Amino acid sequence: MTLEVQWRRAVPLALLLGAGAAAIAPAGPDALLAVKAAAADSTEVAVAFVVDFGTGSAQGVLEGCVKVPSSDTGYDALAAFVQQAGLSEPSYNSAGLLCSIGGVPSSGCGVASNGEYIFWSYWHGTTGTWQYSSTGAFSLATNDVEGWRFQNPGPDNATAPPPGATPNYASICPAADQPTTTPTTTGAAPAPVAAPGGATASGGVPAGGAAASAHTATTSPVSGGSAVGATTSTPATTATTSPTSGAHASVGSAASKAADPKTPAVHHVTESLGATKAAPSSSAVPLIVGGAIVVLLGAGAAVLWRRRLRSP
Amino acid sequence: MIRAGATTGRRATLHPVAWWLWAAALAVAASRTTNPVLLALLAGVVAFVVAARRSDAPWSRSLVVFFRLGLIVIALRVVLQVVFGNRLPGHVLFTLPEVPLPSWAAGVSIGGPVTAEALLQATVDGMRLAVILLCFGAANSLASPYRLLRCLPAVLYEAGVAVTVALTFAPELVTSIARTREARRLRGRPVRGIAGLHGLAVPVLESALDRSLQLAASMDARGYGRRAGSLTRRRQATAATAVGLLAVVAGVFGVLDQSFAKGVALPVLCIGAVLLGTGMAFGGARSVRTRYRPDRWGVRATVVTASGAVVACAFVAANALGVAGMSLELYPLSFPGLPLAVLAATLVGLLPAVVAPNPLARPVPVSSAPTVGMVPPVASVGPQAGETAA
Repeated sequence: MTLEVQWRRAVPLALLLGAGAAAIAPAGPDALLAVKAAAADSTEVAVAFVVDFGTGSAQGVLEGCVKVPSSDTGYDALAAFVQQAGLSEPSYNSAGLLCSIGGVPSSGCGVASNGEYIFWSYWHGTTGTWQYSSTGAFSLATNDVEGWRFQNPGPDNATAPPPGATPNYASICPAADQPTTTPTTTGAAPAPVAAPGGATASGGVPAGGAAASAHTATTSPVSGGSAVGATTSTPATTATTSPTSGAHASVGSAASKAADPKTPAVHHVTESLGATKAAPSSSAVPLIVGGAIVVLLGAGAAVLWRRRLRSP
Repeated sequence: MIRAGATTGRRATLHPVAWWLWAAALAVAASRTTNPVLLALLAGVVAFVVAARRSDAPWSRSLVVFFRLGLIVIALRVVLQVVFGNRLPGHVLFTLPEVPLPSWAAGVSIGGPVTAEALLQATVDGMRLAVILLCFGAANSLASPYRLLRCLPAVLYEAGVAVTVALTFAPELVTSIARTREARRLRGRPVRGIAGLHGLAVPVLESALDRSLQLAASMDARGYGRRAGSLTRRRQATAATAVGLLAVVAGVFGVLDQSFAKGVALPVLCIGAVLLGTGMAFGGARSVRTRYRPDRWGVRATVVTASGAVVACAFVAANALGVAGMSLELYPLSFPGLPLAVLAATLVGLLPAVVAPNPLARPVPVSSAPTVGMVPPVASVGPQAGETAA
């Protein structure tokens, strides 16, 4: 019977697939990223970022400089910047629309509200003034200043309020081009603080005090878009890049300043902050349990199907 | 063994509409989730029930055909995503050479970086469609298309040919695939792989459509759909049915489409349902026709339908309530969860594998009944022979 032959072929194939899945499963979803690590880019560019959480938000305005491979897209750079700031990574919907940065907004994606939209607007500041971008962030320019502002809600065109900080590449990314070492103070923030302390509820932003104490205990398994080779099994990557201790003392004062939402404080982000991120509860157990049930069902179906073929 | 039909001497079968409702409910459930584990579970439930309760009719292999079709859908979806799809940011797995496009074509891309997120998204989207196709295949495997035709409401007899073709095309397709492959094998032609596919498609499609049309024509020739009575009333009923059907389609689309205004969709759906019901009631009221051995809606049919309804309700409710684990989390990339209540409800869908009568169970006196749909009349048919039904 040809059907018998088919089944004989299908069983080893299914076993092979199962074994492969079982081998990859413990390493987590990042198991396949070794490819990416091997192909890491050599040339780096410094990209200036201004991320404005909108009027009345506890987070205020974040600005900072991030070094990424020159082949990265604006989204990769944003992910790197957000990771550097210690926020949870940006999320996208199935169409590729950016839904949230740092867990803001907590739900919905581009929701319409009275003819306007609750969304993250994208701006180019490379020329020194903010220009609304109606296309996505797919490429990086030289001396690039990337702006993101949360509209809650706002029009989906150039009349929307731009990010609340001057797009000055030279001041955000200093000439030394060493964003990782020299904490620069701009605006109202006196200290290199990534996440102002007032924000506790909005997905992943830690309280100021918690940031200082939990700094060394960072065990976030999630790597940002450009965090090359960071896997779930090596949480040390974030811990080792956060060596400074001077920043901790100033966290408290920055938090108290940021508590007043009326005056949007501009916080300069440097890599020296090892703030904790919201670690997603990513467990393989449900996957294994579900997979086992599926395999049982499939095997049962196969056995029944064959038995009924034989029965007269 | 279950022998529901043992007293009448024919093989036990479930009401075909019950199978269709069960399969449709599972398809609705599949449309409400993007969790690959839940989708795979639904597929497993469907496969198990079909394996346990299919008959030996030629169309009972429909599931295999639709399973393959589903695999093709997934592969196609992934390939389209890799080549043309949204460049979802995230963990880049590999980069295809990119074709530069002018600025007015922003949003469209050919080639470029392919991320794990984009591949997962495409696979799960494909899986969802594949599971819905599998449910359709299951309904075709389990329910006899001829028995289903007999359950049609009288008002649809007007559209006899269209309805017959619509209901019997898939089973005829499966039957004709088997027949064409057999013919090619006898002639020594390849039946597997690409070579087997070549030269299979046209004869299969042609003969499947031919056979469906032939069935429709022969039913028409025997007076199917003819009726006496007032022409005006009939036209009114038909018009009400047609408008009602259109409204129902628009309403269902509105309810399923997340971006559609809910305030419009539900009233349209209700109005459509009322119109449809009225049309069917008036259209069917005046027709007097008999049915040979009508299918009975028994307790088993109710249980099978209810088990499907439990699955569908669980998925719809969990999706509406935003239960964690109903959708695949891409940002951050993490393992899918498995909501226990939904898992339990999914397993309720297995009930038909036990409850539904086994069509292959030995009927008591009849020895050589060939297929379920065409059981030859038996001398001692009992109380059902000659019974009439509207």
